[in-house]
Amino acid sequence: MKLLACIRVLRKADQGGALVEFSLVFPFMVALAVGAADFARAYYVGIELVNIAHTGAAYGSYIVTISPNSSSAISTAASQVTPSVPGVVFNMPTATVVQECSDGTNASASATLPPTAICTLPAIIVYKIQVTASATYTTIMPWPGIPSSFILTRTATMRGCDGTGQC
Amino acid sequence: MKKLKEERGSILVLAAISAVMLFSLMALSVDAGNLYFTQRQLQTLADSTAMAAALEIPACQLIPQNRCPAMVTAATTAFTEDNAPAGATLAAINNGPALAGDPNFGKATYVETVVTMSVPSYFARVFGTNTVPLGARAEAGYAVPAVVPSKRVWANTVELNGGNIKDAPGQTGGVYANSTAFADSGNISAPYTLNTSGSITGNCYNNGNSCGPPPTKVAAQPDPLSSSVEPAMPGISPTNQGTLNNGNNNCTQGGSNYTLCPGTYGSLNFNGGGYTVTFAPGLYYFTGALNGSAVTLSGSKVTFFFAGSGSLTTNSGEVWNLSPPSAADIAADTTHALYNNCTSCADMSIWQSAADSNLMIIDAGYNMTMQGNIYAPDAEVRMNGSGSITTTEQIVCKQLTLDAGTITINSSGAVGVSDGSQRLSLAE
Repeated sequence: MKLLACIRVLRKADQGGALVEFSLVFPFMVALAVGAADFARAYYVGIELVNIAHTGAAYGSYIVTISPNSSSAISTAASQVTPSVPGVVFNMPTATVVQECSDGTNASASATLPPTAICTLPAIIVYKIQVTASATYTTIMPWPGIPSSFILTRTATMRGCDGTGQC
Repeated sequence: MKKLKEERGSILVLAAISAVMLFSLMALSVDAGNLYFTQRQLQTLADSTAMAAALEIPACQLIPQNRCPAMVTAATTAFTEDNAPAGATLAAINNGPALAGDPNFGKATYVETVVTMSVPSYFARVFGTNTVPLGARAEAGYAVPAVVPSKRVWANTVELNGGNIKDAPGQTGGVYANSTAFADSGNISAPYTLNTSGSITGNCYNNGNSCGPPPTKVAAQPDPLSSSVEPAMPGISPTNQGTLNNGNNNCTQGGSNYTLCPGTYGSLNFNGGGYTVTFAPGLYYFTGALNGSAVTLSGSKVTFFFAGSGSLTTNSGEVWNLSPPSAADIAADTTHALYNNCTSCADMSIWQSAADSNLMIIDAGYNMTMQGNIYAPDAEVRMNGSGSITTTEQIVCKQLTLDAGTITINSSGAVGVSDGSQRLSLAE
C-alpha cells in the first residue's frame, strides 16, 4: 500500500521533469552543434586543399621554365602551405608535369627542355602542371551512414611557359 | 491558469527553439562553407585560364586579328583541364583587361579572365534563395622585354626548315629577322627578335614542331655591318685552281698540304683531295667559286672576300678554323701587301660583296669555327646538311636558310638586357 501511495505522489509531482526533458533533447542538440562544426571543418579542409594545390601549380608554372622535371620541387612547394588541423592528416601533395599543345592535343608525359611536342599552328607547346592535394578526414564524431574517416582530394591544373627560357 | 503554471514541457519548448537556432547555424555553415569552397575553386580556375591565355599573347600579337582564336582555345582548354565545377562558365577573356581603373586596363600584354557560377544553395532555399551568383577574376601578363642582342644572326629572312640555332652555354647572342621569320621545323633557342613590320610565315613559327619560341617584335635593327667598305681587288694573283704560286710569301705545296697566300683568286677547288690548307694572313679576294669537300682549311688573320661571280660552296667532311684580322693587324700592314688597305676587313672572316647574290652553301658534315663575321648582304646563306657553325661574331645576310645542322652563337652582348626573370606572371 505504501508503494502505491508513493507512486501516486510521484505522478502528481513535477520536480525533476526539466532534467528528464533536458536529458532527452540534449543529445540531439549536441549532434546538431557538432554536425555544424563537422561541416564547417570539412569545408575548411577542402578550401585548404585547393590552396595547397593552387600554390603548387602556380609555383610549377614558373619552375618548369628552368627545369620541367620538377615534380618533387613542386610537391615540396605545395606542402609548405599545409595547415595543421586536429584530426586531419594531410598527405604529401603529388605533382605531374606534362607537355602538350595549347589546344589540349598531343599531351605527352615526357617533360623535356626544350619541349618536343608537335603542335599545329596556331597552338603552342606548353607545360601542364597538375597538383593533387589530399587529406584523410576524420569526423568529430561518428555519423550514421557516413564513414568516420574518408579522403578529401582537390586538384589544381595550371600551365607554364614553353620552357625555352624566355618566359 | 493552473495549466499555464505547470513547468512540464518547458524544456521541450526551449529545446525546440534552440534546435531551430542550431539547425540554422548548421545550415549556415553548410551553405557558407560551400560558397567559400566554390569561390576558392573559381579563383583557381580564373588563375589557370588567365595563365593559359597569357601564354598566347605573343602569338596573338604576331597575328593581327580582331579576336585571337588561339587565346580563346587555350583558355577554354585550361578551363576544362582544371576540372571546372558543373555550372561554372568562362564568362570573359579580355586582352587587355577591361576592368575600369585597373592599372593594366587595355594593355595588350595582359589578359583578364572572369569565371562565374550560380552556386545552388542547400538550406537557403528555405528563404527563397535557390542559387548564389559567384565570380572570380584573374589577370596575367606576358611581359615581352625588348632583348636585342648586339651579337647575333641578322637576316632579312630567317627561314628555318630544320636544324637549330642556339647560344653556346653562358652566351646571350641572338637571332634577328628584319623582314620575315619562317619556320616549318627546327628550333631557335637563342633570343629571337623580328622587326615590328616583319611577318611570320611557316607551319610552326610559334613553338609548334619544336621550332622554339616565336620571335619577339622589336624596333627595326639595321644591318650592323652596312658601313663596311668593300676591299678593292688586290693586284696579286698568286694561284688558280689550287695551283700554287711559290713565288710569294713562302707559299708552299707538299703533297696534299698547302699554304696559300693572300691575293686575288679566280676559283679554288678542293673537292675530294683530302687537303690540309693553311691560309697565310691577308685578304683572299675570290672572283670565282671556292669549293671544297673532305678538306681542312685553317687560317689566322685572314679575310675571304667574294665579288663578281665569287661564291662559297662547301661539301661534306670539311673543317674550317678561321680567325679574322684585327684593326691593328691591318694597320700594321703599311705596304698594303696583305690586306690591300681594307680597313673594314677587321673582324671579317667571310665577306660576299653587296653586288654578289650567289648562293653561299654550307653542306653536310661541315664543321666551321668562325671567330669573325660572315657577311653576305645580298645573298642567301644556306646550311643544308648536318654541319655546324660556331661563330663568335655575327652572321649577316639577306637570307639565312637552315635546312639542317647547327649554328652556335658563342658570343654575348645585348642592346636591351633581359634580367632573366619570369615573364609570365599572375598580375593579381
